[in-house]
This record gives sequence, C-alpha cells and structure tokens, in this order.
Amino acid sequence: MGKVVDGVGGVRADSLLLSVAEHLKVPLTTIARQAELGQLTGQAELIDAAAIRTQAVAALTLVDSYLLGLELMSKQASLELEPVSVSSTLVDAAHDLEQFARQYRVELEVSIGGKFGPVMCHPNGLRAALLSLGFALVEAQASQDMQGPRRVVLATHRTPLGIVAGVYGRYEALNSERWRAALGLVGTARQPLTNLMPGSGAGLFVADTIMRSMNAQLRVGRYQQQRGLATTLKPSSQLQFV
Amino acid sequence: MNQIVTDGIILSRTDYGEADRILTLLTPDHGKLRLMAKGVRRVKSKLAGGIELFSVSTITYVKGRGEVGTLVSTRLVKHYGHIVEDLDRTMLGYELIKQLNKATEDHPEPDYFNLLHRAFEALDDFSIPLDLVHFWFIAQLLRLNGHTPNLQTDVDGHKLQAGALYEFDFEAMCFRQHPSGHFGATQVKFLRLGFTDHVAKTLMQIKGITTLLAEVAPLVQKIQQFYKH
Amino acid sequence: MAHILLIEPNTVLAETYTQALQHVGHSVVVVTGAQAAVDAADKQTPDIVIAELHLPGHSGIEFLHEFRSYTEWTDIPVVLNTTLTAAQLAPGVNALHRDLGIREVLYKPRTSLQDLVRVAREYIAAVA
Repeated sequence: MGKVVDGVGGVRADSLLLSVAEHLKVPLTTIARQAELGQLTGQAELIDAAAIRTQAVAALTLVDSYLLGLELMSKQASLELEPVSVSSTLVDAAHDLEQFARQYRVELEVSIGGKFGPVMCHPNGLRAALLSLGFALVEAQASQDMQGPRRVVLATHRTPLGIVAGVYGRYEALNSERWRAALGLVGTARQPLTNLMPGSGAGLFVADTIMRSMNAQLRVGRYQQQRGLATTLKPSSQLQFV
Repeated sequence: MNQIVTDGIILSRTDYGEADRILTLLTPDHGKLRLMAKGVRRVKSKLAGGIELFSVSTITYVKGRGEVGTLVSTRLVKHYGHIVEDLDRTMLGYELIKQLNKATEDHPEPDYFNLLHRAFEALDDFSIPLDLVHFWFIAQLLRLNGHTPNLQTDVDGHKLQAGALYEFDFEAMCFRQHPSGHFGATQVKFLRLGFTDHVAKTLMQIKGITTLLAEVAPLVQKIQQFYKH
Repeated sequence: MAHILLIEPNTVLAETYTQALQHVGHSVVVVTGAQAAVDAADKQTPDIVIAELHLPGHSGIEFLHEFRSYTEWTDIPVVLNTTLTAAQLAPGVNALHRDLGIREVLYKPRTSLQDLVRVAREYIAAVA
C-alpha cells in the first residue's frame, strides 16, 4: 500500500505519513486546550500565547520537513549536494529550538567539536533534519520517567568516517538494535520507540528519511556519555571555510 | 523444608495483609499455584523491567498446609519485552492471560502453560500479525478445553467435500452444506491447521492469510462465545 | 476539593490540564510515566487518576495492571484521556472497563478542558 520511499532500511511513505499524522494530534491538542484556558477560567491572561506559537511552529516544521523528505527521496538519484557548514547549521537549528526547549524545561546546549570545513549535503535538508530531530528529542527528554536535569545537546565533531552531527541527551534506553527495530515498526506499532518516547516518534523518522536521501541515514551515537541520533557527512573538498 | 523448583508464568497478583502479596502462577508440572510472596509490597523497583508481566521465571517455593504455598525465590528466565512496546499487543496479551486464568480454574495440564508461553512468543514477534495470534490462541484454547469443532464431516456425517459450500451449525458444532455458504475448502483447511497443535508462526506460511483470517476468525470467536454461555 | 493524579507525558499539555483542574479547586500531581505514577499514588492516594495510555517506557496498561493489584487502590476511579481513538481501543475495551476498572475513555484531541473538568467532577462525586 502506498509508495515505498526507500525500500532498503528506511520508512515507507505511507507509514511515515501515519506517524506524522499521529504525532500532530499532540501539538494541535495543546494549542486547542491552551486557547480554551481563558474561556474556562475567565482569565484571558492565563493563555500562554508564546506556548501556542511554539507548538504551532514545531508542528508546521514537522509538516514541512516531512514534505521535504518525500521530495528529496523522490530525487535521490539526482540530488544536488552543496558544501554546507555543519556548525552554522547546528547553531541555527539550536536557535530555532530554544523557545521550545524552554517551554519543556529542557536545557539546550550546542557543542562544536573543533574547526572543520564544509560537508556535502542538501542545505535545507540538513537543517530540517536537525530541527525535526531536535523537536522530537526535546519532547522525549521532558517526558522521561527519571530524576535529574533534562538536557539536550546539539553536537558536531570529526571522526575518521566524516563529520558527525547529532542530537544527544539522557536516553538510556536508546541503542542501535532498538533504533533498527523501530524503523521497521513505523506504521505498525503505535510507539515504535516506546522506551524513548511516548508518541509515534515522527520527527526522528522524518529526519532519517531526509538524511537517507543523502545516503547519510541516522544512527545511534554517543557524545560525552550521552546517547542520541546522528548523521555522518563527508567533508567537501571543493571549498574550505576558515 | 521441601523446596520445589519449577518454571512459572504469573497470571495475577493480589495484596495480602500489610506487606505481602499472593501470586497466582501457571506452571507446566504443578498446575496453577498460589504462592505468598512475603514483604514485597511497595518495593520501589516493582515496575523496573516489567518482569512480572509477560515473563517466564524459575520459581522456588515451599508447599503450605492449605492452598497457598510460600515463594522462596524467583529467577527471570525470559521476559518477552517487545510485547509492551506496542499497546495493542499489551492489551491482547493481558486479555489472553485473563482468558487462560479463567479457563484453568481446576488443575490444568502442562499444555496450558505451553500455550501461554507460545502466545507470549507470538506476541513478542512483530512479524506475526496480531489478529493471527488472537485467532490461533482461541483455536488452541478451544482444543485444549476439548471443544474442537468437527472439521471432517458435516451434520449428516458425510465427509466435507472440496467443491461444496457450507455454513456452520453451532448446535451440532460442525458444518452444514448450504448453496450460498460462506465456507469452502480453503477456509476449512485453514481452520484445521488453526486447531492443530503447533505454534502461531506456522500459519504465516498460508497464502492469502489476511483474507482467510477475516473470513474464519469471527467464526472461531463465535464458537468461543458459544461455550461461555 | 479532590486530589488528582494526572499521568500525562507531554509536560506542556499537562500544565494546561493542571491549570484547568486547579481552577476548579482540585490539587493535581503530574507525572510523565508509569513508575512515577505508582510512586506518586504511594505518597498520596489520589481521589481519581486521569491517564494517557501512551507513556515512555512502561505503558498505561502496565501501570493499571500494577495499580489495580493493590487492594486499597482497586476502587479509585481511573479515566483515560488518550490520543487513541475508540476504534483503536475497541479490541481491548472490555478488558479496560471490566478488569482494569476504567470508568471512561476520553479521546484527548476532542475533549475540551470543560469536558475534562466535568468528567473528573462526576467520578469524584460518585466515590464521595
């Protein structure tokens, strides 16, 4: 049923749509309930307009990222990649995630592990993937049944295989086996990554679809004793940024 | 004290007194056991790993004077952890445990333990569709309870014919030939396989299983309902 | 005034629900997961539990299975407020009502704050 976006290891288009649709119930419900608060209490000042805006932005970003993912996968064979600065993209994504993380009382950090040149990728794709990942993992971090500080790190560092960019936090239950199993469960199980997040995890799978179009699918990674999902990108030999 | 060691699957737990709980377990060799687990209430780790639901453990216990023995120790043998990753599977698993608990009010044979164990294995395997697990379980439970329908001959005692169509006669618990019947050779063969002693995954080999399940699962559920009343 | 245990993994949504329930005079404890819910109920017995089924880690079903196994919690009303639709819950809904003592299932996207407050009030009053 439906178009197969990527027959090898990725998520089917119809399953991804299901996942996105399920996820959107949450921010839209949050917006609806916030809007009602003034009416119920007679105190319009209780309505948190910033919260409504942040939830709407997160939901719209997911929709846009999902559509971008479909577009990039359909063009995969002829995708034009450009040199992109990972650190700048990371910083921009963190800026866009800031309000959302604050709303969820999750500390957001950016860690740039050294100076390195640009990578070859689709510029909008990398940004959309990091945002989708970020929104999903911030929400997941906030929902974890655990004690202690809640923190999410957007980090990039160099490895022998390339430049790694990812989103990390205290996700003890996340490992490669679970992630691989989850990719196969999207559209079948309502909570493909039940130990990580209560919902469909749409943001994670949308991010993976985008990066998969560049042959840079997400993998479970570790950064400074934290776990998360990351992509590995090849450095560009075309241009060197200082 | 004579300690007995056996495998067990927990069917239910209830409080007893201030600090204890009574566990009801299904075992292969000792039927259904009720054991007192002393001092286990309000233990903080009670949900950690979810070891009690959908698990097989090796238990050591001592027989009591009455119906309730005393649990000495447990060791987890296998936890079917994937079941709880999916709410639908969790709900079905929970329902199957309840059904089996009810069906084994008297002294159950080892086959009931094996059935529940196999049910956990099937639920834990996401490649096996949930409705298949449900169909298979009901058929197996009916079989163990001695309620396998007659899938060989019709109400008149004639062998079921390959080209004929049938409807199911609940009073006679067998098929009755009917010109516009809903069941033919394919459905009957599938039912026969469903009621044979094997694991759920065996049924996955059947072609057109989704359609077949839609056709025969309601029948099997109705048969189960028939025996409940 | 009643004490409500709210099991809601989305902390922003949880805050909105809390404000609404507190506005009508209830005290609310919010938890995001099953273990925290058991611990919270242990600390202060709730008059009613409002729970999402989709939780990180252990599901709402596991929580209820544990919760209902304690005799002093057997009769506490539990209302589900979940993103699961009635159709999605249909196969197990009898078990939910019969065995796990769910009084009502609310479909979260369509349940207004007013509905939630009303339902909570109904079941709290029924027990009082």
